[in-house]
Amino acid sequence: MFSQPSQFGYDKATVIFSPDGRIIQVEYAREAVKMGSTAVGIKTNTCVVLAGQKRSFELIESADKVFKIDDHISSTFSGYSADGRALLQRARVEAQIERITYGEVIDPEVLSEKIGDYLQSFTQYGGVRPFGIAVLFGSVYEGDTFLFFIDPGGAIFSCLATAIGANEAAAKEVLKNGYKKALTTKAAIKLALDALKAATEEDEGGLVAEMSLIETKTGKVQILSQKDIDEILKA
Amino acid sequence: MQSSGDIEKELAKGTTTVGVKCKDCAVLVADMRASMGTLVASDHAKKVHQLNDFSAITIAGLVSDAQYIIDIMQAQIRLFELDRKRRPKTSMIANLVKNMLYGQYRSYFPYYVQLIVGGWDQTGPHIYSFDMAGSLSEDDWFSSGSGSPLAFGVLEALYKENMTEEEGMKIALKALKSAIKRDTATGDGIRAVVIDSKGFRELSKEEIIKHGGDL
Repeated sequence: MFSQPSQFGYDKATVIFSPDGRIIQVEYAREAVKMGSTAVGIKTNTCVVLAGQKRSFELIESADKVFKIDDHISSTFSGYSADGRALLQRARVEAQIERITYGEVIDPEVLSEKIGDYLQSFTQYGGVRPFGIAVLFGSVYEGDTFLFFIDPGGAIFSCLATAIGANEAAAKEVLKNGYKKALTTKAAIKLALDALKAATEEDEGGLVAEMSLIETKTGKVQILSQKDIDEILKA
Repeated sequence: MQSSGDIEKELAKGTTTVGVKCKDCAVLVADMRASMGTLVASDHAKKVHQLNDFSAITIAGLVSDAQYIIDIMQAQIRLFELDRKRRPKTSMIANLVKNMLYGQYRSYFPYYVQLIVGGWDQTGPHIYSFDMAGSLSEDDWFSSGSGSPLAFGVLEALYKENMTEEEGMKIALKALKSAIKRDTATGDGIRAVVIDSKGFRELSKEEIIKHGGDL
C-alpha cells in the first residue's frame, strides 16, 4: 500500500527526489504532455516540416498550432497551451536578443539549449511547477536542417522525425515506417499528415492540420493551412 | 576639484593605432608610447591585443577602460566558443564591443576609448571601428588616437583595394611612422599583427623593420 510515491510526499515539489531518484513532478508534467493534441516533426535533407492538428470545439474557434519564432525557426508544442504560449514568447525574445547581441540570427541548437536551460530551472527550484509541455523546434540554419525535441524537464534531443502529445506512439510508428532522409518536400508533408492522422481523433469535418515548412532553398518559415497542404499534395 | 571628465582627459593616453584590410588578411599596428599629458609614462605599452585565434583589438584612450573591455571580450568569446563549438565571426565580436560601449555611454560614464577590431573568418578579413558612444562601422582602413589625423592622410593617399599582406603592412607602418614623427604622444616602438586564414600572428622586430617600420 506504500508503493505510491505520493503517499510519501515525494511528488509535492520538484525540489524533492523520490528515494528511487526520480523527480515525480516532472513525470507528472510528461503526463500533461500526453493529454495535449499531437504534433509531428520531420527533418529531411532539404526541408523541415512541423505539423499539428488544429482542433475545433463547439462554438470555439481553433487556436494556432505551429508558430514562427524567427525567419528561420518554427515551433510547435503539446500540452498546456498557456504554458506553450509563454515559452514560445520567450523563444522569440531569445531569438531577437541574439540578433542584438551578435547581429546574426540564432543557431537553432543554441535556442534549444536556452529553452532547455529555462525548463530545467523549473525542476530545481522551489515554489514553481514545471512547464506542462513538450516542444519541437524546426529550422534551416546555414543550409542545414534541424529538428529538436525538448521535454518538460529540459532535456534536448536532436531528431530526424518525432511526435509528441496524445497517442504519440501511433504517430511515431508511421514515421518509423515511412521516414527517409531523402524525402521530397511533398513526401515529407504527406508523411507528417499520415502520422498525425494515425494519432488523432478527427473532428466532424475531417482532420484540419496546420504545418510549418522551411526549405533549405529559401531558409524561411512558411505556415501552411489545411488548404495550402491540400494544394501541395494535389500538385 | 577636478571633474571626472578632466581626470579622464589627463589620464587618457595619446596614441596612434592603424588597421588596414588587405585581400586575404587584416593588419593592425600601433605605437608603444603611453603618455600622461607631457610625461611619457611608458615606452613599452601594449596597444594591440589578441582577442581569440582569429581576431585582435587596438586600443586608444583610457588604458584601464580598454583593458577592462578586453578582459570582458576575451571571456565572452571564450564562452561563446565553448558553448557553441565554433568561433564567432568578426562581425559578431564587433557587435559585442558595440553593445558594451553603447550601454556604458547611455549610463553617463562612457568608456574613454577609441577601438579598432580586426579579424579573419569564413567571409574574409574585416576591420571595424568604434567611437566611445558605441557607433560601429566596417572600414577598409582606420586609425585611432591622438596621432590619427596624421595617419589618415597617409592611408587616404596610399590605400588600394585587394592589397597583399606585404603592401598592407607597408602602408600601415608608413601611416604610423608619419604620426610618430609629428605627434608628441605617439612613439617609442611599433607592435604589428596580421590575422589571416592561419590565424593571429605578431610580427617580430626584424619583420617590422623589413616592412619599413624602422624608427
